[in-house]
Amino acid sequence: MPPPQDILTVTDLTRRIKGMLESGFPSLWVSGEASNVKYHQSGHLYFSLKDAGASLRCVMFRGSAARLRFQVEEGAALVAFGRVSVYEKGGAYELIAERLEPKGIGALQLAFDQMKAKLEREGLFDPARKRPLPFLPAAVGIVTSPTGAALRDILTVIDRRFPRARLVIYPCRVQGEGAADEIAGAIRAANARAEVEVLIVGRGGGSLEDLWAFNEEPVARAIADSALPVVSAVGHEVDVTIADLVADRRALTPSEAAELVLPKAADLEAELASLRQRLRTALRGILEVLRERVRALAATRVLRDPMDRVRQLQQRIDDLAARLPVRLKDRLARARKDVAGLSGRLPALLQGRLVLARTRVGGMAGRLEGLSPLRVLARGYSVTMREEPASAPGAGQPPAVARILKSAADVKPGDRLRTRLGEGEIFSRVVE
Amino acid sequence: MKKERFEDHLAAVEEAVQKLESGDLPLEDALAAYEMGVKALTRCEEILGAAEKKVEILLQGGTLEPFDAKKSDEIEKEQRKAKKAKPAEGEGNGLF
Repeated sequence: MPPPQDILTVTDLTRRIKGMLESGFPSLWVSGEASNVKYHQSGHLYFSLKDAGASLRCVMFRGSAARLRFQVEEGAALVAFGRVSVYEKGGAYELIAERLEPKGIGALQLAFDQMKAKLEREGLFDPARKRPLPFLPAAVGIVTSPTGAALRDILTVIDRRFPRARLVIYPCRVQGEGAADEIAGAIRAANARAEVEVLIVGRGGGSLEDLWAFNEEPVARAIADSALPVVSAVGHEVDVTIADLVADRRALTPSEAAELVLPKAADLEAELASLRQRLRTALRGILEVLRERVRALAATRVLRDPMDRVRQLQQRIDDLAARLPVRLKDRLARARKDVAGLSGRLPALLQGRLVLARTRVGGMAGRLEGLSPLRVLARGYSVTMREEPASAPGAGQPPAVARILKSAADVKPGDRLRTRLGEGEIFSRVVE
Repeated sequence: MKKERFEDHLAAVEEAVQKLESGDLPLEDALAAYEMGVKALTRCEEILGAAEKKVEILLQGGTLEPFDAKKSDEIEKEQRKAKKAKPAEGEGNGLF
């Protein structure tokens, strides 16, 4: 053991180790599973990469970490690129990672999947959130690059469909660092200004990297927060971005977005013309029916000749009168039939009554006998009547009218009398 | 007040047409429906007719300026030249 003459400080030694490590291990790729992941407030990302046999402390400084598109999760299989160094204060070696990529899947794909899952959990893709596009917006806003192919396509299509449209372009960069914030800012500006009724947000085709801004959270948030309905139009049909998922309507291309936000003016005009025609035709039809009804009414006799109605009524009365006996006959026939029916039952019905009546009549006949004047005459009384000569003496024996005498004053000499006795009559003449 | 909408007027026209085409409307109602339909239709045509072509672009200061596609392309060319002279930051992180 050498004498302690060349004593190093901890710092000296650590620095020598650090120098050796840094020169001995140039930048390299290393793979492992992430653990102890910590996103620090400072923006630095701390984690460990480990496998079955060992563990490696890693740090990704703010500048690099900010460019990381996906979220590093515990247990994720990663490939890190960086250099080995020493954290002097902690006395520990570590990998200073400059890049990180998920193993087996593209970093962008992973980032997309993670963002999609996150926003989906928040319900931002909920179909219930989607608002209908206005039928005929007074003005259309376009959030895109003023120099891009997308804007040219949109303007061309709108010029063809609705040449007199009012458009407002909210310019922004659509790719590269900071593009997402610019797009989000333009969407917010359009909402704040409220001069348009619908927004197209998009850009033309490009690589996944080119379209990336439309997968970033600020754009997704701005679209979700937008009071104006948003039509997304990013790249081509095959490119589905987060913006497409959050938007109220996804257009496959910028050209299609133009078709979605504005109707064809020619179609509208044709529709209006057709409706005007239908209104007229329908009303004319109704009027024609009414006119026909009036014509029919005018043709009736009442209106043509009011007296005719009176005559007709008279005729009807006559007709009724003529038919009346017929009706009565009918009734008679019916009555007869009833009577016939009754008469069948009558004999039996009357038999009892007849018997009863006969006895009563017998009794009454006895009493009547006593009252009969003939009985009085039979007892020796007589009744004298004055015969009156017929007012118009005819050829034969005129029927004499007799009047029963109750007073001698009723007769004068010469009057013919007729006296009825119990049996026979006496004719006499008044002498005095 | 609710904003006047073309489609509301259009719907009113369609309703009037349907009413009239269903027939058997009393004259008063038929005339009222027709009048209403024509009025709404006229509003539709007025709205369509009032549309004016106008393409504007929002400037930095928050004002609108008529948009000229050609001019815009020229500006872009200049910007490209400027970019070539001095590469923008954040470019070329070389992931792909």
